[in-house]
Amino acid sequence: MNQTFNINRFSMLFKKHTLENYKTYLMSVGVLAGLLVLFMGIASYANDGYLLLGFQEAFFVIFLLLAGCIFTSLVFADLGDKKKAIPALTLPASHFEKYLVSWLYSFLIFQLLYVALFYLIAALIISFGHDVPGRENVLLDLFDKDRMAYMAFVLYPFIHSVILFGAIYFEKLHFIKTGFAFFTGIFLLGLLNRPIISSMIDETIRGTTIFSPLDITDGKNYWTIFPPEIQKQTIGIVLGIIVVILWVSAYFRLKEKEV
Amino acid sequence: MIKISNLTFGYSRKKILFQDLNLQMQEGHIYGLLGKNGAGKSTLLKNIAGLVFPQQGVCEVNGFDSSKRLPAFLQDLFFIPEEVYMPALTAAQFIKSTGHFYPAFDEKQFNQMLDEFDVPADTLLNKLSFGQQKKVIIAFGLSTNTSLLIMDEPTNGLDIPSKSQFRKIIASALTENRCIIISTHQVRDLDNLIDTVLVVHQQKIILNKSLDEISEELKFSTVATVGSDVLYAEESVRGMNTITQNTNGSYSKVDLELLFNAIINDKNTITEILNR
Repeated sequence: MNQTFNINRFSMLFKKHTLENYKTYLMSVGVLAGLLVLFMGIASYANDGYLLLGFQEAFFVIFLLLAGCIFTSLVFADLGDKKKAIPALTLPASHFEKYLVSWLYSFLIFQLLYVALFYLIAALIISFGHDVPGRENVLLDLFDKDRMAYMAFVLYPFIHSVILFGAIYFEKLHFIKTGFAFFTGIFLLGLLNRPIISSMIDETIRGTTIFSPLDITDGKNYWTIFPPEIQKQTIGIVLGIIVVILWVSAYFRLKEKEV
Repeated sequence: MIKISNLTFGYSRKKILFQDLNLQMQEGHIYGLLGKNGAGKSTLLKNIAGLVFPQQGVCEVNGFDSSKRLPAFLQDLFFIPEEVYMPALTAAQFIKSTGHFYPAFDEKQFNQMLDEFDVPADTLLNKLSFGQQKKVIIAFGLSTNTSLLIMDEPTNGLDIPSKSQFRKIIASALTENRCIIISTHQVRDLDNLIDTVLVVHQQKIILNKSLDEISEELKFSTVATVGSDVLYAEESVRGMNTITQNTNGSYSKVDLELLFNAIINDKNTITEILNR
């Protein structure tokens, strides 16, 4: 029998995880549904039953990222509790299978359930509202190029990989500690960004933040240098590589987990 | 079955718990692992189960490196920790979700043991008392029929009748293909149960002998006055419990608590006799 992945063993593990956690997951879905109803309901009520696309877009992105972060931060919580960690680590399944179950639930299944739940609630609220003359009360199109809702699916893997790594790295208070470490890292990167760029460019730099255009002063002239289109793709590729590195690191951290 | 070679372990580089430890354990035995609080009994068991990793050396079980925690290694090992966690499932749901991870799991055996321990089968396991949860996990661990069963302080939380049932059940569960290791600081709980004694003290295994080997070398008796040949003595209500060298080949039952105290307090004499 393969010691890294076996489909029978994996399906047994998936079923065990589902059986032991489905009540908690259903309750979490209930809480999320309640929050979406509350916020979208208020937004609709305040606009005479019209649910603005901008509101739908904002709620979609904020709740996806926030709920996803909280849920992902808890997927390895058992390993921070000695009582739960021993049966979890000694259960006869490979580290990869154990990792994959947590990854599937927090990444794939979460996003699918979230999209379904969001549209169900948005459709319900819209059905209770009415069309404002001249404006049709419609559901958000996730892939509308004029809107940026689809960017949530680009951001989610990044946020997920950071939180997943934090969930296995820290023993307790995973969400808070990961958030603190992440923002500290971003802050330090922001601080270092300016001296690094100054060392490469002679002109006076007016201001710069990471992954943003560069503002420089040349005598009495001010310039903003935008990166070429190709470099936007580079940023995307770098972020993609970071996501994969963090996912792989989380797996190795699980392999090295001690109790 | 278990082969520990030159194992050095510590929770930090500066504080070493075991230094160059070597140990072998075989199937067909029930080992009693004894040691003072903080001696490293649980840590040694965790090294064997792959729950912590040695700084140096290796721990092998059935030829598998424990620290890799491969499924083939894990499906032939069951670890019962001192503090147990049970999910919000009934016993029947628990065996349905977890039993089939162990190829030799015997559902009938599990249900019989639950009956013997008088644990209700239809109550959610997380709603049971600590002692009852412990009985469930002991019954489950025995029913997995893994070749290695490790129990860390299994009698903690068990009432007096349950301790006696525990001894009976463990004794009946030993087969020639199975190795059971029980760690405890309540030495009397292992009376009439173990056949081999392991003592962990000052970073080493200072004793690894069967009870037969011990009784061949030492004589345990209760006397009114202590003679000059006594190696170790402790006062009791019946007189003085003593250990003397067994020079005439007579048989005496090993008093585990007395032996343990003797080794810890007067390590050299007793262990030199036993290990020569």
